[in-house]
Amino acid sequence: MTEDISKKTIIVLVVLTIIVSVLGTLTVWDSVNNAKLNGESHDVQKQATTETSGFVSLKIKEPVEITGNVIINLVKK
Amino acid sequence: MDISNKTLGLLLVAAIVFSIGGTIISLNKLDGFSTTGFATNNQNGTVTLSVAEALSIVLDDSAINFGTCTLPGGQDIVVDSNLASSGLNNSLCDGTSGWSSAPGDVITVHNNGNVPANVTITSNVTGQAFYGSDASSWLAYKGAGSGCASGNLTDSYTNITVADTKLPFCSYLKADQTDNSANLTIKSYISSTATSGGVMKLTFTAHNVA
Repeated sequence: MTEDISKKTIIVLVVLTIIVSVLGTLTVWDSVNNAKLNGESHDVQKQATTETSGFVSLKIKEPVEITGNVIINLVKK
Repeated sequence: MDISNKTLGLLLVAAIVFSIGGTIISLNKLDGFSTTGFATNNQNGTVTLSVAEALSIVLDDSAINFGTCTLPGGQDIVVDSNLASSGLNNSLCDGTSGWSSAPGDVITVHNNGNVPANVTITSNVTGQAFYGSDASSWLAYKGAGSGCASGNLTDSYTNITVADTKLPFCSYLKADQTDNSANLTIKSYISSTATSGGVMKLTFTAHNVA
């Protein structure tokens, strides 16, 4: 019968598991943040901006009237 | 049943392997996040812009004032607010003394809207009626100015023979920010038998260009 491993080894393995788990979580978290801020994402946002469509509606009232004067008074010599 | 330390150790080693493997898989999957970003950013946006009251004209100078013209006995006279022609009798009219160079006095129509305008004029009297139904007298108008597109301006003197009727002036007054105005000048033949004169009202009307 083989010997069982020591409690010390178990504790080392537990600590190692926790460290690996935390490091993995932090790595993934960092990668997610980088994915939102990297250059590729910005380029995509610019592309979306240039593809935005616009619509113009124009209302025109007519006619527009305005009056001027021509003044010529006459006297005879 | 108690679990041996060896079994616990194996489970923990398995946990470490799974944790590392999961992290690697997650990092690989993160490459796909940029694709998810494409989907979001490819959505279309709509912008609505309304521009109201686009057609508008104003008169920068709204009167041509010859003042009082003194008719010499038995002699017809010709006056012109555009001083370009010769043989005029403008000096007989006291309102012309300040006119130094062509054009002497004008009515300036200015397009201050943001669309081109078709501008007509309407007189309240005919030239003959203006001078007391004198058959020999007449009164004419013409336009000048690069603000009116080429070929769209009444640029030679045209007698006003009808009242309360729209007459062509500039059928395409530009909506340019700077080059957007046209000048109207008046020429008149006043016979010795003319009796009245006074104030002629000219109404400028802007329509949309067809």
